[in-house]
Amino acid sequence: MSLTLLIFLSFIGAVLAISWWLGRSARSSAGYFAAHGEIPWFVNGVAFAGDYLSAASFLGICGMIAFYGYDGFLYSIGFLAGWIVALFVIAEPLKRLGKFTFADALDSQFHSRGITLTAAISTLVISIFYLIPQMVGAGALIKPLLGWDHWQGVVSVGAIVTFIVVTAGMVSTTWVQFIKGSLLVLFCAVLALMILNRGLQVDHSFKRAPTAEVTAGATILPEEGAWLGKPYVRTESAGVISVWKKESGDTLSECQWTEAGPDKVVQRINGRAKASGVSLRPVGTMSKLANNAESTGPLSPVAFLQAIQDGEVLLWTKEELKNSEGGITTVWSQKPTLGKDLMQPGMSPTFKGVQGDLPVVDPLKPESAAARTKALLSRIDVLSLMLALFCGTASLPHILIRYYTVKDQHSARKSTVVGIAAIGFFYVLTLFLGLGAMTSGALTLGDTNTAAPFMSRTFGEIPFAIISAIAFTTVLGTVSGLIMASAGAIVHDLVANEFKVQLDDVQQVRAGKAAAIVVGIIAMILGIQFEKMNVSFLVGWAFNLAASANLPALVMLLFWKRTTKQGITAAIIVGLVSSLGWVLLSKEAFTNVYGLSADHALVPFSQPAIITVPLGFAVLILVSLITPKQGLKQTA
Amino acid sequence: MSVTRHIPPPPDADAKRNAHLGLWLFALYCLGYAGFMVLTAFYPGVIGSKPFGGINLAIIYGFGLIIGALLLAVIYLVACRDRGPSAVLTTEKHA
Repeated sequence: MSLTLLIFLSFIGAVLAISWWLGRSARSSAGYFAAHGEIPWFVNGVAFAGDYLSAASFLGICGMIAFYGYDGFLYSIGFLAGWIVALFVIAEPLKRLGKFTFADALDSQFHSRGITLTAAISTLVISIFYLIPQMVGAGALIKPLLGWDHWQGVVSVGAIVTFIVVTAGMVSTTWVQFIKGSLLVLFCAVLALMILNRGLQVDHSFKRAPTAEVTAGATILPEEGAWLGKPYVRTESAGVISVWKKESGDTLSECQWTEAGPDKVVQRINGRAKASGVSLRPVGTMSKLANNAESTGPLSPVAFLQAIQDGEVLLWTKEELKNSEGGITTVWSQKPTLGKDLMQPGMSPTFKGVQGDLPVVDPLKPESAAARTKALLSRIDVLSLMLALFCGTASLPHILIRYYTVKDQHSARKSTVVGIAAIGFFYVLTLFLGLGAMTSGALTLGDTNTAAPFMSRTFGEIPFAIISAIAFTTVLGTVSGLIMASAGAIVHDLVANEFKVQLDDVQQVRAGKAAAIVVGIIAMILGIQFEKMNVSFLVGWAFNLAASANLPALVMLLFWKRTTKQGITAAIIVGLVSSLGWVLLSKEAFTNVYGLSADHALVPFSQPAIITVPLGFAVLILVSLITPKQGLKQTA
Repeated sequence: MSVTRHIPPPPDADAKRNAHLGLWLFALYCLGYAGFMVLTAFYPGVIGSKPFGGINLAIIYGFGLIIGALLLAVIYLVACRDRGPSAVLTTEKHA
């Protein structure tokens, strides 16, 4: 057994043992679902970080920064800003109103079955949407570490998490999240210091040379099939085909490429059979530093950012060529990019719409109006995503239930501040980790999710093993929180309150464990099915759904006395259905889920929050105004 | 049928004061976040400019929003009051 694997398995084993030991006393429903409300506020605050810093935060953001620069940091800013809504608007009233679940709080004034049912369904739908990217991230992590297939990674995570949740519920879940949150923040800080200490170096390992030099001694293959009319030159030397891109000034730049058959399974990589064990060469290098320096030596945080901003980074662009037999050749070509462009928004597919000024409409050119409309919609899409991140955090069910694990509002407030400190510090680190990965020479083309673990490997096998183990527990922590939220919604809201099944305390706990197993199995199946989907995109969906379905109901219940139970029920239904419908009709869903052309998309932009959140508020106000206000008859 | 229901206590004066303070701080942060969103979406030239220290506005503003969130959170924590009975949860049974 390798040292890497030994460290990894020891880490996971220790987390499981601690989890079981700490959670062994949870026997009642109050203990199982809310840890008796006795978790210390500091532990709960760090557990907030453990709960919230999911695979999307750690793997997704670092990967996005590594491949696209500042755009990934926009997610960090949005995810953190959402905690302001949680602290200033939601935390204390929610703690006062609820007991176990989000539905408790919404239903506290009305005791309405409609509210309980819709809130529970909303919790389940959002939790499952949030579970999918976590499971996909788990598969992506296990693959390079243990060499397992994606499905094996997903099943192993699902099995371990289900074990954690079933053995002791919210107590052990909280401690897993506390351990993971602490280690994640601390080790990422160490990793950031190592990146700054290493500094930056220029790398010339990918060739860029005059055509005559490249083709000397090699055979130039004819432009035919899928290569016809494309800006590439293929050369053959010693039986190996190389691909080069034609650049300006009679220069060729080295490309990387794969060939897949009609079944989309890659057969050849860089001209060699995949079966021979060859893989794409790792990328992620500086192509220039300021003043033509070759390296910088150790840097301060500000000097590190300045050096990248004033330098040039070698990015890669992808083009797919379809051949007549249905196979696909994928070519990655070099794209030297100015650091100043990478350090501001607009390099990723999601945010590219914000590049440049809005086109001016020229009355003599009808197409200019269409171009302006398209650019405007792209910007609205970005605004909508940032709104979803801002509003979604305080509406995520697994975050909301954590307010019930502390004893009072004061503890809820202190927990949230600790959570903001830990999460904010981590998000500052993401910029350095992502940029460190971008220049580490360890990125895998086309795989953004593994940027952080592979970057850590450049410092040795032990950092790689530790960061992989932490990333794995990151997934464990978030998934266990989501499964707990789902189990609580099923047992407490649906079975006990909605369907009026009388369960004693022990039966509630048993039912919760059974629900956790079912949700765990569903998560595993979806995690396998959605293997090819982008993790950040899926998380964006969950935030849009949460913001649209839950936030209007929560906020209006807390701050508008005229709110009625019908208004809350209608707002949840309309918010959930409209946001879910919108994302399923978006161009991303058409291309990534249905495999259809983006032109068939039925909505003008992809992120619905800018429409569906105000819609939820409007529906709640309208329905509340036309229905009678009936408060709870206090029996106290 | 006996059902266990959670009856929330009414908010006391401290809770109302805290909520009021929270909303003001929330509005303040919203202004900062909205400014960032507008600059990002509509003014790429401004967000890419370097106001000071050789670092562009996108990075300075982004760090400012993260650090600003923590500062406002600490101000809120220090300024909030908790003296009333509403900090205790009650659970009641009713028919």
